[in-house]
Amino acid sequence: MPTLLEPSYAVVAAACRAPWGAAAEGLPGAAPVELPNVAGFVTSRFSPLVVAVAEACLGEPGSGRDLVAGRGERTAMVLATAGGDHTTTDVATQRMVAGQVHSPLLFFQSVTTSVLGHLAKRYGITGPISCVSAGAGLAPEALRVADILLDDEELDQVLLVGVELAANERVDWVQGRLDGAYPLGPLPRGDAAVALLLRRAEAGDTTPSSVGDWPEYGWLAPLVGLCALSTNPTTP
Amino acid sequence: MPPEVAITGYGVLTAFGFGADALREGVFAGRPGFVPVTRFDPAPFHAKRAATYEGVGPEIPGVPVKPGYTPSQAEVLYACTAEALRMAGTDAAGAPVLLGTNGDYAAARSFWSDLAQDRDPADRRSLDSLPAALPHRLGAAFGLGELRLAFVNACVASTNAIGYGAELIRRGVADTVVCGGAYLVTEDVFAKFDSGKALSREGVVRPFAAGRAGLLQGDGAAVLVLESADRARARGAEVLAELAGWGMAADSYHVIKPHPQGAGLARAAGTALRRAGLEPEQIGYVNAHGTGTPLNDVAETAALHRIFGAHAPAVPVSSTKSSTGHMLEATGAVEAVITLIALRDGVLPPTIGYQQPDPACDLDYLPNRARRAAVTHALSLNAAFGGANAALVLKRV
Repeated sequence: MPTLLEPSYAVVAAACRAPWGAAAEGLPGAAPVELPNVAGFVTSRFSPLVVAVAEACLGEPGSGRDLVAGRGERTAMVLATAGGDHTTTDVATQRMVAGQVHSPLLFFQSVTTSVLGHLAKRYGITGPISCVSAGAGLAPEALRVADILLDDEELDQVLLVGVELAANERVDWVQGRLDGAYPLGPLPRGDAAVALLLRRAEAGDTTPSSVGDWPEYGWLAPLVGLCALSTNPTTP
Repeated sequence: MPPEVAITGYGVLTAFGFGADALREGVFAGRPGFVPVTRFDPAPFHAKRAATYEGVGPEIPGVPVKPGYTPSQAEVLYACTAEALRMAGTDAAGAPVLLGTNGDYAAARSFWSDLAQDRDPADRRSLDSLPAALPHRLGAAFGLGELRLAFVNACVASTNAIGYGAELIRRGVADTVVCGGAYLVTEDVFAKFDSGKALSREGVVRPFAAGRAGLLQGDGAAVLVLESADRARARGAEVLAELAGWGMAADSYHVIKPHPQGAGLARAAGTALRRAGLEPEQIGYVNAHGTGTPLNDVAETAALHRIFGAHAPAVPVSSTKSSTGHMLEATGAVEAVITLIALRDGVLPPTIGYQQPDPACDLDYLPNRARRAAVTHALSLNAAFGGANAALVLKRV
């Protein structure tokens, strides 16, 4: 299994979001509960959370701090999530169970690549888009996916977004019945996301290591630790 | 030099049944797998047909075929994995498990239906509603490795899983990888596609042809065993084909629509060809994404022109979704197996339902009949919402 102490990448920029209002006081990424809307995405906080944390990490497109500017072709995106957008999935399913008609908006946003497509268009990103999920060890596995992408001579940087919605009734039910042979990493206390912009380390770069203990962030905690250490953290 | 990546085993399920012969009798024989949906009541929907496995054709080992019973993703993945390992002649102990799956939608549906009827959702299958449950379940059942990932990037998910598996082998992280994907037609996903007007209301799919009216869904699952070619040969295993290259790229164009000039798909293919060390002219067959939607097929044709240039009209291209339906997260893995069989059998599967050509789709789409051809290298393409594109290059050995 990989460790988080991979020496070969550098965290160029980072952001995290715990949009829990006063409940997140003192945490990195503490933010108001309300998230900015994303045109075309409804009902669920999943996609707005991904967009908010990615934009905080990368900077506004076209601005002086846009970290993708001039590198869109050499940027990849990896999204890691254990439960995915279960709000969209379950709202859609509950509507079906209640005999209601399906909403076409829920059709496309139920797919995690859709929100990454939104980001790709905004920033001009044309590198690979990968979305992964795992039980235990999702943070180091997501970092490994990003690390392998950085080996591609066609790429300079990878935006890694870890995102998790607070458990709903179904996820709670599942989590309560898992045993040791079938692990699910701890979930954050509320909707949460971390974005890290990773590049290959250059001579003289220090090895990034996760700092701090952030159990409120569940499996995202090691990524929050990297965010906290980042040379250019954009935690609010 | 990084190790070459060999495919040494596979298990596959489509509407035509389990295994390669089911594909030969269905896809390669030019038969459509679409039947009226009986798995749920399609009355509320515009589309009424899907390529569901109804127990016709070779049975799924260990899975009962009885009226009203739909196998679970876990069951079909288990059967495919057992067959892949048997064919490869390995127990793949310690191998990473990489699956394209968005979880078992039927399990999520079962959970909410139970709650709505004040029943305790006691079915442990509900655990499979989380994507990562399925690679965990397979890994535990077969004694595979602890690296267990679900790829949840929709219609490129299992292509991504296979490509990532190849990279793990090339980098020496693993010498064997078990990878693939699964999707079985469920009412919830059917309803989503129907609401988005993506499904053909004609009951057929006509990729690349005039008058095409959308896609239809299909059951699909495939699991492949990848390993270092040197290791496979050293242990006397038959190398069925080499996975010579893979690539992914984004369109940066639209949340739903493909790039009209196929820019991302062409770039993904270009990366796969570069990794394989091939020139485009060395590709002898393309298994296209070919959904049968008006936008996809024109964009994919444009991508093929970008990839092959003046050589494009000489390259046979087919969409086997015209037979199997669109298998979503499973589609890349099943189509990789179809491509592998095409290379080994020297038979290129047709695009069926092809009646009138569309002037905007001007390539050789292998209309309606399979064609004999000895091909050395083949390309398999997939694309997903958000403009995510993926490509695999397979090499005959």
